Amino acid sequence: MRFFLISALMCLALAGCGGGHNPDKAFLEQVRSVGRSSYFDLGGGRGRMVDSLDAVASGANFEISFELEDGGEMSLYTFADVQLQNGIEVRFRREGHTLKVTGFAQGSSQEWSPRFASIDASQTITFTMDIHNSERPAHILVWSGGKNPALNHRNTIYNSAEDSIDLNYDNSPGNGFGRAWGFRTQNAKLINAVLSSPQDNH
Amino acid sequence: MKTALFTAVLAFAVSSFAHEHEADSSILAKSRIGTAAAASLEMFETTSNGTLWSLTAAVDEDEVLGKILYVNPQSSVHVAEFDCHFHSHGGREEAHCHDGAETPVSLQPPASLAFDTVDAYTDSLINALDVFERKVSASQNITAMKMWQHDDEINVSLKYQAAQGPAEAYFMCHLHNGVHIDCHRTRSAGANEPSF
Repeated sequence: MRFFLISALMCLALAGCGGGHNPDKAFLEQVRSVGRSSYFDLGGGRGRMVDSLDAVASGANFEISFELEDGGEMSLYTFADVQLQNGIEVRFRREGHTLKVTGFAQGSSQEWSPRFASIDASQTITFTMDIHNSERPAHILVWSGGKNPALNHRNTIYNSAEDSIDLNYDNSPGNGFGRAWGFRTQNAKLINAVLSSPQDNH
Repeated sequence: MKTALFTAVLAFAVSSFAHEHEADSSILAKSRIGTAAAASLEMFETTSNGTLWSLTAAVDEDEVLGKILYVNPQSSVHVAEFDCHFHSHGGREEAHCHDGAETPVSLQPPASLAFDTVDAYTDSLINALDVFERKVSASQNITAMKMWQHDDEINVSLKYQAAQGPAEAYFMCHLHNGVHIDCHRTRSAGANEPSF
């Protein structure tokens, strides 16, 4: 009788596993792909990339391609926490053919748009971006186009070490405090987002 | 720099730095300040056994006059003056520099000087001039410069003649990844600027 009862309870338990919630399955269902990368869908147009940065005090390169509807926005978050907070955000917003670019970190925001006046926001946009978060504040370099060996600190479209003064800032807005990176789109389409080692060693 | 007045007449071609520095050192030759500063740094490295703290140079008619502030092995601070005049040689202007009066000064030396070779100063000047040329003005417009080290930074101030009058540009240079000197523009001169 005792053996029968134990066997019956085990059968019930196994049956419960078969029909219940599978956390691994739910986890995998959140994973989406964009270009050559994968991300966790956080909802609300936000995604955290599956890969992460080597260290908080490190440098990294981000190549992103995207399209914006008029009034649309695309934000890149780097050196952020898993909720994409406490990092460095670069926000791109289309106003007609004009691209508005704003940098955020540590509660500060900076308007970088004058440096991006040559970009036609109605077209597909590709930027290559170095963020050296090991410097205080972070050194940020942005190039127009994809990552290639010809990019250096002399041919940037924006270089926080060289352009901040002309934009009336002391330096970049600050540092990030995490190892995650990701994005937020609003009336925008992210086409590709790739993490790699820094392009420039300055 | 330890010796008596005007004992050396030294000629230095700026191109002699080309093999030692990653950045394009030819930018030093674009201004008399750059040429003279490079020559005086080379002269200091050759003839002194002190540690460089600060360097000034200023155009004075056809010459560049300057001073080097350094800490000797006994931890006393000295100023060595120098002056440079210029000759054309092979289509390139070279600085011929003389070391001049050397005097002790009553400055308290820094607790430590992180950069103990002149190469860091030369690299900082090359990088600062590179940014200056691309973002501020032509280096021929520079009338005076000052460099000094503080903590792990080398500060560079460049006075120049802008269209609207005399102006000054500031740079903070630091070692990047422990290897390369990288200079950032700043809105004001760096901390702990020595007066001498």
